Amino acid sequence: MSSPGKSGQTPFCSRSHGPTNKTASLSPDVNNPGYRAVTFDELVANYYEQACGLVDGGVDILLVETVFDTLNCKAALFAIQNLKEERGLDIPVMVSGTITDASGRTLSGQTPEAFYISVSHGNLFSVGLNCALGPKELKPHLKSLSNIADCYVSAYPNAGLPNELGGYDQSPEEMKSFIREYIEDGLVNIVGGCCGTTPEHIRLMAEVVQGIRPRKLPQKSGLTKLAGLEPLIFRENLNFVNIGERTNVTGSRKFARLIREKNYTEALSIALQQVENGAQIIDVNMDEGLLDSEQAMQEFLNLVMSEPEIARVPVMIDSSRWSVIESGLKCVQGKCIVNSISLKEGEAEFKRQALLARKYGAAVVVMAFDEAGQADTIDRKVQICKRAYGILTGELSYSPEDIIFDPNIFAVATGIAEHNDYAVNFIEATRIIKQQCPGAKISGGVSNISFAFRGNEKVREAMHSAFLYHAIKAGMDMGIVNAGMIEVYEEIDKELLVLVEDVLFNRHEKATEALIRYAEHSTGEGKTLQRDEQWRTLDVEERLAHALIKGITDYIETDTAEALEKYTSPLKVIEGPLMNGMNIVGDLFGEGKMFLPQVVKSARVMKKAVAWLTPYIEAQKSEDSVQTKGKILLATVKGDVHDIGKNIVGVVLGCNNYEIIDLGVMVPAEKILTEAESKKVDIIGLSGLITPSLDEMVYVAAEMQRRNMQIPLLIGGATTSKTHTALKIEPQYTNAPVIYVQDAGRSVGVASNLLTENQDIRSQFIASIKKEYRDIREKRNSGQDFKTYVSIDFARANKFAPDWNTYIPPVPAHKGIHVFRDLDLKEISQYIDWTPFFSSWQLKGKYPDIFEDVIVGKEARELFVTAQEMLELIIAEKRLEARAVAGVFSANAEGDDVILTDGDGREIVRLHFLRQQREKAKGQPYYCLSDFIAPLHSGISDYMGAFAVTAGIGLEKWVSYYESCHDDFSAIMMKALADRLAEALAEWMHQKVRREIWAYAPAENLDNEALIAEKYRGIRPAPGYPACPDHTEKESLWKLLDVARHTGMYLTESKAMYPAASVSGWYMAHPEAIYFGLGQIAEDQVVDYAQRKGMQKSEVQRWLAPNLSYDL
Amino acid sequence: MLHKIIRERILVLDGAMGTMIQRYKLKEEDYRGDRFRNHTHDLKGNNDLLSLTRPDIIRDIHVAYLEAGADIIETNTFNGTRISQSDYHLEDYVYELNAASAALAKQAADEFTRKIRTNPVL
Repeated sequence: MSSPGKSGQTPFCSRSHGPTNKTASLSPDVNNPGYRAVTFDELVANYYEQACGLVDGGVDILLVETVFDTLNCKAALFAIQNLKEERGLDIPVMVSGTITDASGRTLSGQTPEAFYISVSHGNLFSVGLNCALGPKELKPHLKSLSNIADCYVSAYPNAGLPNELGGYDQSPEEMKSFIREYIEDGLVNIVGGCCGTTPEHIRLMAEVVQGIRPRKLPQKSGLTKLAGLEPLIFRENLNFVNIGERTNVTGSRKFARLIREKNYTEALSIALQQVENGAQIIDVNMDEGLLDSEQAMQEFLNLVMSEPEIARVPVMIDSSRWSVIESGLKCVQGKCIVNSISLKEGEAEFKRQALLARKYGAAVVVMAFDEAGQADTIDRKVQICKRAYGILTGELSYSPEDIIFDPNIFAVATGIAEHNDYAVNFIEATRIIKQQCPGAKISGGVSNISFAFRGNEKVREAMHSAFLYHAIKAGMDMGIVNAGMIEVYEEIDKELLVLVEDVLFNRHEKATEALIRYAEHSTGEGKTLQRDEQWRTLDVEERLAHALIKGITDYIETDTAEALEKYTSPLKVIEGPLMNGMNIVGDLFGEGKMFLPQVVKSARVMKKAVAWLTPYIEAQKSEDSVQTKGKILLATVKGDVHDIGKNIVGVVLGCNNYEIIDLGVMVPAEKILTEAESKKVDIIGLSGLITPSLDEMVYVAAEMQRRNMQIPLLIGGATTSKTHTALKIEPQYTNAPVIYVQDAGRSVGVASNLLTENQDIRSQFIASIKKEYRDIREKRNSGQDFKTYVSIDFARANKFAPDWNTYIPPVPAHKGIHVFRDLDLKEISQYIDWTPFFSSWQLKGKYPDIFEDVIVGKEARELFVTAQEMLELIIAEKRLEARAVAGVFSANAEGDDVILTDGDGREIVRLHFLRQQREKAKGQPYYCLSDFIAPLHSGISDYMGAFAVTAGIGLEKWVSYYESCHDDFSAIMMKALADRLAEALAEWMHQKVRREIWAYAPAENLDNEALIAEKYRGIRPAPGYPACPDHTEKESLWKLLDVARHTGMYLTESKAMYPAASVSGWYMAHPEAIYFGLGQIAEDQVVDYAQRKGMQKSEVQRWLAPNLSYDL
Repeated sequence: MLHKIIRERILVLDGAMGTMIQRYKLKEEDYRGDRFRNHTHDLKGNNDLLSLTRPDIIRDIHVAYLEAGADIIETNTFNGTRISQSDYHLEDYVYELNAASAALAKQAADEFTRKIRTNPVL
């Protein structure tokens, strides 16, 4: 073979550093999980010897590859660092890990992100993955790694998965096509092959990389990153981080005893409890005179590493002796925290320990302690921390995000006057340190503050909670706490809170005395986990009521069984204690004392109880059925797929003892009405979200009249309104009341007024609604509502006209269609706008201020926690798949149309937009979206884009799973989150288009708040929404991007997108492009529009019904 | 040099060493060579040792990958630690194995660079 002589080919030789055949994090003996076949120190010696040989032999790069245990890799990096320091070498280091199975973890259990975080201290040239999997299977994991790595990324997979004989079959051509995907997705900087690959494979890879721009190095995030088996990244939206304190022999007598007795099984269960109760890091401390602390630390941490449920969180290795810390560092594969180092013994020792901590790959807690002692004043705390920060970030080039200051939390209310300012001093020092030491974090041992009140848990917990509340506001990022035992600030007894805050802020001289007096009189019972179980001793009726009100499902089946024994008939159980409980729930909700998410949780309890009783009801074959207040049929109309609101209405009515028959989504009128007749329902409720559904509802109402039905009709959903119901629906159906219902809360009142046995109330209610709707119609007809419209010609003559002569449209970096599948939901979730999430649960308020709201704050916080848990499941188990397609095309406006063309100037689609006609003040433009695209006659080449995204692939399976478990709460939660993810995905996609695909704002760097506030250039109006309300234009979008084929999303007959959790729209980049509402339009434009679209006028009128300024 | 190139383009690493060695269908004698003829333990399968006993094969594989277009080639030292070599009772040769493997790869890379005369090797 002759030399191909590729230009620029520059051979380097790297050292292949195999993993050794022994692992440092795993035990080869299943019966002895704490045992290790090799120690960290042995591995360091091994790798050091190898590195010496390789460097002496002349390698240019050192490569630590096929890493299946990150602790082995850390030993190799430690050895290399030693060699570099000794010889003053500056040799690039590459690391390549191995994902061993489809779960996407290394053999030692880490996710790719956690793996990267754990080795990122090595100042790596590159990080990557090799071996074990073929290129296809490796890709998702490579993507995770590429997303997080701020160094270069390499990938050299096997030639496919091994065949039955252990050989590899993937041909060079096949492999090349996968490698091309890596490159096109911008995942890699270095590619190559592992097992089964040959020079022919490499030759084709070398071909495919020719002339392609490599993955760019991302900007350093500056975020503090830690890892156990899973990553813990201090992103902006991460709340206060709880560090579990119970695995500390100095703080827990029980833990100390267990360690002394070497009862590690129970000691481990304490660690597990901490994690289960919400500890995101666990602090481990073995400092006790009677212990061999080094050995205890090593033994315990080795066992912790063998328990995935504990090892998933990072460890904080806590000791006042460096030797104990170092023995711990040699056991932990993740990125842990050293707690702590300080200037206590002078700068030399401080620097030595800091450098070693980094060499082991740990972040450090720096205590505010220097040669003169521990700092207790604000000045001293700040001065010491600043000095340490200067040494670390200056002399030692430490990353600020690896520094965590502990400005010392000391006990207050000790009776010694000098101690009274200790809490204030910590809080104020925290505020200043956060300002003056950017990037560094603040931590502290919280329990210290209340040391004077040992034995009185109630006072202690109140002090911790109040202290944290203020310290977190000042910038405290994490703290060592008894996870799961922190009282909610708002729930602290108000009298106690005042006393506690007087002490914490040293508000007056008598503060300590007052708190002590309170403590002496209070029972001292704190928030114990057992206290919550008190209600178990109540009567069965009270227990059922409690479970329903609190939404607790844990005992519902036992309690229902007990009630059945007592009442003998299952129906009596339902009608008696269960209904009584639900009545209380209904009342509390009606009085505004319970919120929607709680009610939905109550319904879940009720459903489970009823489900348990159902076989007994059937066994009795009794004729009688449960006496409910009435039967209500609910359906989302034909062509529409949105049903969160409808489901919530169903749950709320169900809670109020109405029987619900829910026909689901996309239900044709015929089916709704036939079911209603055969099931003899008392009320029909229709729901819809998109505008064409309004028309369908009118049709359903007309059909009810034709069939001469007598059933009341309720109308609800996002686009419905009282006006539309009064003007269009009610006149179609005069036999029975037609009522617009604004939200789930109001549905109960409406239903009860309609179905009450008191005929006076019923007829009064109906009459008042009829009058209200009649007034709306009369007002409309009498012209009180009259508005003036200009002619379409006038509107066009006064369009918005930017100066096209001075405008240079940005040329897209990548024209054409871009398809994204299996997107990283974790990344997408960072873009979620949470405010609409809360409003879908009828909690009004802006995120995150809603958490401080006096009325709904507590409920919002609880809902948010549940949502986060569900979101984590969605991400971890890949319950949903996100897909997206987007593209930018050549475009010019022609009149109010926009023509999109392909590379050869051929028309792909012609879009039709509508123009405002409602009369405006002189000089104000009449907007149409086509105004933002350069007109054909200007001769300017302009561009326009489009997108369609969904986060709903896989949703249905989960919703029906939860429904089959009688868990509407989780089903609604899944849907609400899928909707949020779809919106977040649209935000993500738009940003990617602005930065990379169209790339007119490559340097844009906005946080989520700024994105939500639309502080970027360009707009993404959606067909069917205010600026372009014609839903049928989605067909052009589907054609343009071949959406159905690329994403599996399709359009219903009403042009609703399916799956429901989807978003689509247009991209326009003109800096003056804005969102506007079309408003009502006049008949002349409708005629013109029908002509442009080649549609019948009547058809256009049907699609644009809500936008017509005239009556039909 | 490396830092400059990687900013401009995607680099190519070589492929499997073991897969290529298998093609030579080597026997116990090949692994032993003259030098380890009387070694007390079996050596077949100790691919790293070939850097000492069959350097011609290792060099040929490096050259094949360089000619295929690899920018970075890996030394034949996947099992080049004391722990791994203890399986063959060759712990005391670890330093030499690594140094020799590195020299082989470096030499192949240098010669290839001279041949294509584009950019000099670091």
